[in-house]
Amino acid sequence: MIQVIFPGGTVAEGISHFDCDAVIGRPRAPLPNVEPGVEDLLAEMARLGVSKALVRHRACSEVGPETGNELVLAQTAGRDELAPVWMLTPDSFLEPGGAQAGTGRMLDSGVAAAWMHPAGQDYVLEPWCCRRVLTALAERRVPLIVEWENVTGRQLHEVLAAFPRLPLVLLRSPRMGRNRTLYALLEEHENLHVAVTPTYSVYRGIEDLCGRFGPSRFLFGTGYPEVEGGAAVCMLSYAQISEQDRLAIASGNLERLLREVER
Amino acid sequence: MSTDRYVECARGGAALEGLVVDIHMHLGEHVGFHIPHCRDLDLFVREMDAHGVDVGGVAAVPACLGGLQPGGNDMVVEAVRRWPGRFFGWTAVNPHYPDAMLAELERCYEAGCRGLKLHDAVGLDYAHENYRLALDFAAARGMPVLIHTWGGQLDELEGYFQHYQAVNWSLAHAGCSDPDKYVRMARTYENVYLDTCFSGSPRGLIEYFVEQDVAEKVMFSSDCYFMGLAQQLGRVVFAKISAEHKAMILGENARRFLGDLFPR
Repeated sequence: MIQVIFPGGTVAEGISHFDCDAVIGRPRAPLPNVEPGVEDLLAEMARLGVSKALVRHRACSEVGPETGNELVLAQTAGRDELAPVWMLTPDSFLEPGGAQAGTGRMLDSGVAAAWMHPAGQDYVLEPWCCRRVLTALAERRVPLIVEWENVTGRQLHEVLAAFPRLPLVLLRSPRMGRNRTLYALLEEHENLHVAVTPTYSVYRGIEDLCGRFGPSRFLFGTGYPEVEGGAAVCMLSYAQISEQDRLAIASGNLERLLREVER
Repeated sequence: MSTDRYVECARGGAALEGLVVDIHMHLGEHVGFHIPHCRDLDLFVREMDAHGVDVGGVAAVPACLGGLQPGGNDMVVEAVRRWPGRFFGWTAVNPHYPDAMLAELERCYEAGCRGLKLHDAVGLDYAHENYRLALDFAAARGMPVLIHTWGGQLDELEGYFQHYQAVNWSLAHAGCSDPDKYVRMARTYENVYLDTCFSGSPRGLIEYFVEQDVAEKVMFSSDCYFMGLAQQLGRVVFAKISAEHKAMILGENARRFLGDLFPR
C-alpha cells in the first residue's frame, strides 16, 4: 500500500500496482520524447505507484529472441522489482533434454513468465505448431503472454482448450465495449487472463468484466513505454468495484499466477 | 510521489476538484460494438460525478456516425433538457441529406443544443459544399463546431478556419498524427482549439502541447462512452505538467471556448 495525501491533509492508502505490460529497450524507430530502458521504467514506476513489473525486451521482437532474452536478464539483474520475461518460439529449447529441461533452465535463471509474438516471427500460435513449447509451459504453469493483435480468436480458443493448465495472459485487448470475441473466450476458458491496460478503454468496462466473470482473471498493465501509464492507474482507481477486487487486479492476481508456477 | 491535487485525487479514485469540462463525449448506440448501459443517462451523470466532471459536451453516436436524422440527436436533446447545467449539446448532422440536416439543426437548436458536431465518417469529405450549409447555420447563431479529425483533414479544414473566423473550432483527437500540424493550427488561428481524446494515449503528447506553448488552446475530452472516461482523464491528470496547466486544460480553456454558451 502507498500513502496518499489528499488536499486538506487527509491521508489515505493508495494501492500498489504490479505491471504486467512493460517493454524495455530502444525501438528501431524512436518514440517521441521517450527513451525506454530500465532507468526510465523505474522512474515511471515511482511516479505512478507501480511497485513491480513484468519486463519484456524490445529486442525479442525486433532483433531476435536469443538476443532479447539475454538482454532482459542482464538489464533486470539485481532489480527485485523487475521480473524478466522470455520470448519463446516453436523452435525454442531444441537442445538435448527438450522443452521440459529448457523450461526448467529458464525458470532457474529467474525468468518469471514467457511471451510469444507469432505475427512477426513466421509461425502461428496453434497447438499443432507450438505443442512442444506449450506443453512444457503448461506442465509448470508458466504464464504465457500474448498480444491481441498477434492472434485470432480461433487460435486463442484452440490453445486455451488444448492446454487448460496454461495460464494465458492476453495483452492489449482493443478498445471495444462488450467485446464479442473476448467475452466468449472468457466464458469458455478459465485459464484466460486479460490485461486491463489503456488499450482496453471501455466505458464501465472493468465493472462489467468483474460483474460477469469475477475479478480474478484481470491484470493491471501500463503499456510502458508508448502509453501514458497514468491512464491505466485511473482506469483502475475510478472503477466502481470493491477494494478487494481492485487490489486483486492491481497486483494480487499476477502475484498469484507467479506463485502457482511450479519451479 | 507527486502531491499535485489532481494526481492525489485520481490515485484515490476521488472526484477531481476544481472545474472539469469534458468537451467531447458521446451518447447512444454504436453499430460496431456494444457499450453496456449506453442508453442510461442517469448512470452517465453519476459516472461524471464520480470523476468530478462538471460539464460534458455531448454528441449522439447515432447521428454523427450512424447518420440518423431526424431523431439521431434525441439523447442529446434529452440530456440538455434534463440537466441544462451539466451538458452542452452538440448537434451532429448528415450532410448527405441537406434538407433533413437543416431541419434537424433547427429542431435541436430550439431544444437547447448550441454546438455543431461534424464527422466525415458519414462518407463525405469536409470539402463538400453541403457542409457549408451547416456551418452557415452555426455561424449565424454563434455556435462552436466540434469536428472529427485524424490529422489528414486539417489541410482541407484550414480554409474554414479562415472563412468562419467568428466560429470557435475544436479539433477532435488532436495529435493523433502530425501533432506539429495541430500545434500550428492552434497557434495560427485564434478560433482553433485542440481536444485531447485519443485512444492510443501516447506518453508525452499533453506535455508536448504545453512545451509548444499552446496550453491555453487545449481542452480535455474523453470521447466517453466511446472510450472510458477514467483512461482519458488519466492522460491529463498524470501528465508531467504544472497543476496550473492542468487546470487550464481540464476546465478553464473550455469555459473560455464556450463563452456565454457555457452551461449554468
